Amino acid sequence: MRQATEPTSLAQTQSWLQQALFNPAGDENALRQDAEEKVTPSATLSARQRLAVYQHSYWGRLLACMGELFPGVCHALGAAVFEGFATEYLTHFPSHSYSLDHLGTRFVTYLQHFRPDAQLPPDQREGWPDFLEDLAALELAVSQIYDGPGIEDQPPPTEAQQVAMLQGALPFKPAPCLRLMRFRYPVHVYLKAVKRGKHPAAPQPESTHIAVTRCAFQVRFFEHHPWEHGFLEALVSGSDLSQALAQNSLAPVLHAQNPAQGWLTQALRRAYFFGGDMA
Amino acid sequence: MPPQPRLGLPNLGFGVGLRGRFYDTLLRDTPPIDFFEIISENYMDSRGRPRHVLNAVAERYPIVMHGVSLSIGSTDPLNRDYLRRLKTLAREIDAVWISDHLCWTGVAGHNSHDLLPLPLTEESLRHVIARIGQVQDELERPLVLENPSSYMGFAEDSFTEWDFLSILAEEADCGLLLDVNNVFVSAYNHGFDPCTYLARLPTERIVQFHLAGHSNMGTHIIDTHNGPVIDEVWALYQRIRARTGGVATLLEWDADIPHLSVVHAEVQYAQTLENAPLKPFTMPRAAAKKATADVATFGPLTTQPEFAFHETSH
Ligand SMILES: [Fe+2]
Repeated sequence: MRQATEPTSLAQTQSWLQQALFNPAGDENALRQDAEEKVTPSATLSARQRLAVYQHSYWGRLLACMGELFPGVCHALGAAVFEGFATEYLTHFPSHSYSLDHLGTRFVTYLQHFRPDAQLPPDQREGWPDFLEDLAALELAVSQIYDGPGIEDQPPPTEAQQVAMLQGALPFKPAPCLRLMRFRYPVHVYLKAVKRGKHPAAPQPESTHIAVTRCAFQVRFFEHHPWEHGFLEALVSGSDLSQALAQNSLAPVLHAQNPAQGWLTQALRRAYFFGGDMA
Repeated sequence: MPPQPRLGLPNLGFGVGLRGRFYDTLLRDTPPIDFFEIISENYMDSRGRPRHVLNAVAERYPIVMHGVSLSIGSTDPLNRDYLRRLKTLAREIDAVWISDHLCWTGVAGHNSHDLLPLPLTEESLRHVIARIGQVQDELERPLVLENPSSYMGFAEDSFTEWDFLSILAEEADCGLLLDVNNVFVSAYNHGFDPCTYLARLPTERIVQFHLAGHSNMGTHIIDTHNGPVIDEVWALYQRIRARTGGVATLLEWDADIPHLSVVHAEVQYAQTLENAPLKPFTMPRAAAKKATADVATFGPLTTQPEFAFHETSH
């Protein structure tokens, strides 16, 4: 065995300490022995206990951050079970980013791959993991939209531009903050209730179509009829107005029933589209 | 030639860490705070409300940038993309200086989001000095480095922290952000005399002070930034401040954050100490009783909120 004071290279020391943080439940004997070799005790704490301060701090910080990023999932699972999920997630997907903002980026992927019935065909799966996946996807979108690019500093399209858009002479430019999302559960209703401090019960399955977007730096949800949603999806994916109308059999009704620019005015007010040129 | 005091950087007065809790107040009012410090990573990529508020604040107040992910001590290569983004933000908000910590945050591409301690060895010293040079070349300005709180030392340490910091600052020609609370916390955790620490620092290189509250667990202290500054830290601050002739002083409050006026009042207290008689200082000792708790449950599951700070108020 090496003498306690024999210097290891800095790279070795860093790699050891990082491993000890990431795998606190590793071989306890080896961890204790390594700590006693590399770390000095204080007057009150053993080397192993001093290492444990860093281990607890690492997990405490990241689990708290996951709880802030996914308050809905945390509420649905309860804090203790959520912590278990988040611990497993962070063990598989530790942070590679300089920013904590990206900590939850792969949480939905984790939930999809690690659900207990992942191997079963979709029609034999349980509903509960679907609900969690949808809720996590919505929460991830909310945090990305909150701090991502928006259109607050963009001029809305002029009336002439709006007419040109409706005539197909100008393209519809989707706002970078717009996400058109389809869910198996009304997770936006659930999330809103959690954020208001309520304790909602898990909802029944219900096909849900919503736009998540940002107006005046506030993230907003707007519910759509399925045909309205399909029509907007077509526009957002680059179809022109006539194609979008043709692809969605009920959309012409919407288009015709509203006064000339009614639906567009509403879409612009909700920050779905913008008029200027994004930098 | 000895450097100019504060490396020629201005004494910005008494400032507060910009936190999401203060956004509404700062969009509405312009309280007489001398400057704000931002956590750089919370704004580097922001194109939402945090950046919107920062732009509005930067029009009215001087801003200094304080990072947590530079990882100056890591044996990984420096993240050039990160440095470019840091530099761009500094230019856009006209930051007065850029600081980070004497620590490392991860290796092999990982980020622990913790300020991990460096072994205080000759190898670490050479490594960090070389990297500060690279960072200063990239940023085209002096880097300012803060002493972090630490909870363990290494068997191979061959320097005291104050000697390590002093040599590093001189040889790398960088600035120091002296966190007086961190000196106290580390002194408690390692059993050294904080007055010796302060006495040995090259005061002309101190560009900024940090003050903060902490959590005393008896056997050790955790740097939680969750309350007012304790009297012992004020006493240490008075002593080192008198030797610098005046340096920008910032209060960090990151957990259980009160209204901005409360945080402002706390840092204004620092100002009242300027001409006040020295507060007496005695270093308390860590509780003598050895902690017996199993390591599996040992230690507070604490967030070190300086960087757990994360905007989620949508
Ligand atoms: Fe600090």
